[in-house]
Amino acid sequence: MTRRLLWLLGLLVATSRVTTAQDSLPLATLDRDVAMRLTRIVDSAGSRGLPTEPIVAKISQGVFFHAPPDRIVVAAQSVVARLEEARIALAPKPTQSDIAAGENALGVDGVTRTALQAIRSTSPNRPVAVPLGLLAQLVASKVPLARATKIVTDLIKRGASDPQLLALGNNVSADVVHGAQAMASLDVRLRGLTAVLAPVAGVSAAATDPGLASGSGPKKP
Amino acid sequence: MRRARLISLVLLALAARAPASAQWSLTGDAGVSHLRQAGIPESNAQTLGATLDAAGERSAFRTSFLAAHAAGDRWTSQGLVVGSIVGPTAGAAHWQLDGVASAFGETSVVTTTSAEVAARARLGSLLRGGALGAGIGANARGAAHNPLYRAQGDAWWSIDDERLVVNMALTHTRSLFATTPTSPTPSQDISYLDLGVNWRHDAGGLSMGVGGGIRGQSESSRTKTHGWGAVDMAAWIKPQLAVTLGAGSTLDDAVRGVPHATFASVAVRIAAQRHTTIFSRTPTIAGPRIMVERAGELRRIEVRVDGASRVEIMGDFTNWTPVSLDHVEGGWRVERVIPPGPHRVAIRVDGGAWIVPTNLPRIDDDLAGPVGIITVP
Repeated sequence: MTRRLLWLLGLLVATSRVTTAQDSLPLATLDRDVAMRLTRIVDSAGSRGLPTEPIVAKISQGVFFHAPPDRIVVAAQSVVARLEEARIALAPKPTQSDIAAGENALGVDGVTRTALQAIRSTSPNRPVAVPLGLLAQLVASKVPLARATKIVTDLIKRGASDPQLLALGNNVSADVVHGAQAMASLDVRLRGLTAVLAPVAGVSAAATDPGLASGSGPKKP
Repeated sequence: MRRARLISLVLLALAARAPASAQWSLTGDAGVSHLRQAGIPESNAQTLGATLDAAGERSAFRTSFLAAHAAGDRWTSQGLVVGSIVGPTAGAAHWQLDGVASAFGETSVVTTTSAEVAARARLGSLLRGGALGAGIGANARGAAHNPLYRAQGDAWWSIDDERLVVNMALTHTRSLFATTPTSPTPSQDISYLDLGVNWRHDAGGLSMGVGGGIRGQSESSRTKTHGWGAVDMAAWIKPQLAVTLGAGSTLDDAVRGVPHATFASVAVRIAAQRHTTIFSRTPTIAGPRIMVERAGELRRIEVRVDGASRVEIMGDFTNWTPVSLDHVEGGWRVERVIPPGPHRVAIRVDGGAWIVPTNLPRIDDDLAGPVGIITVP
């Protein structure tokens, strides 16, 4: 017991200079070697400018679910690798939130760095955390990656707002739970959104023919 | 006329080609309309219409056709094709080219055709923005050709499912309506200024719009003011079947040759693609559901579950530490600082197993097993 207390005290001193996120590392239940390895992983990531919260969250998750220590280390290393990949894909100036969102999206089976790059190149100067969330939700709902990426980038180009992107992802997810095919749901849900986002007609919107100018088909007679 | 038609056809072809991989929709309408229009007797007319829409990243294409069969075996029909191409973004500005072609005919009346091209400068996005531009064109009725010049401005503003569009257009052409409708002879030059407002709501299987405007028109030395207004609604009662209602009055369209009309119509609409219906109810999923929304700097997570006495949540944003939710009317709630983007989450009801909220897509986490993916705004 005394030995364990001494080790915890030593660990406390050793990690006293690390960041806030590291302070919340749940290392007390792990043996010293694993704790030090995890601390180094977090420390190294932080020193390279990567957000450390996702790594800490993964370690906490492993501890909570009583995962074997080696699996926790591997999982933490995987998070770091995905964070690096996300940062590269979302270059040149990704925010910490963007990198963390990219890491989470890359953690969904099928999402690739190329998809993240496509979204970043479509929206080079704005945060992309929410579009990345939509991408992750669509792919997790079994929408093929190419189609999901195309939809997200199209909607960004059309100026869709974050709430609209969120609503689309949530609606498709709910439809799939209902038993709908993801692609069929997407087509239906997207139709409503694109109606709102349709380009404003030029000459046709002039009031020379009010009956035909409005949104959904002939009105006159 | 020939040059204007050629240019507009090229634009239309470009606009129609570009959205091939994009969203498109095809609908057909059949119904009846109480119609009062110059040249045909006021009566209940059978109507038939079709619309093809396509919208790509930077282009849009629409073609519509409408025919009405009125009393006395009189027919009136009109067709319209509109194509728009939007240029690449340069800051917040874009250029846009529009091409329009139309045809209008009535029984015993010479058909009127028109073609227009316009260039506009746009500012803003598709959600909020404005455009200023000018166009030229011509129309033809019989052997007579009339030039058309138009300057126009538009502004649009969308919030969620609502869209407001304000238009202004100054048009100079030659009137087709000063003489009898059966006469192919154009009359004097006219100029008119249209101001119009359209509001549109598209959500949950219901699409409805209200529009209205005024026109100030100078003919020779006289100036007249006229008004127009229209309402329309389409309610999708089946995924591919809607009921549409419309009523209103329109002004003479001196460019396309369509005379002023008053109408009230009802029709059924059949669509090639499926739509959300007015009876669709997303939140009917059995089991706990989770929602997240902004609450100032915090994010409000709400879980709805029947008959629970305790609800907990955990996810990457809680460092996988269980957090109890507070019971509020209609559900369970907690507010926290959560970064935007995708997050992994699981919930527990009454101390049972950790489960994925039923309205979220689930993935297999490497350490936690099944978790849900939720996007935080």
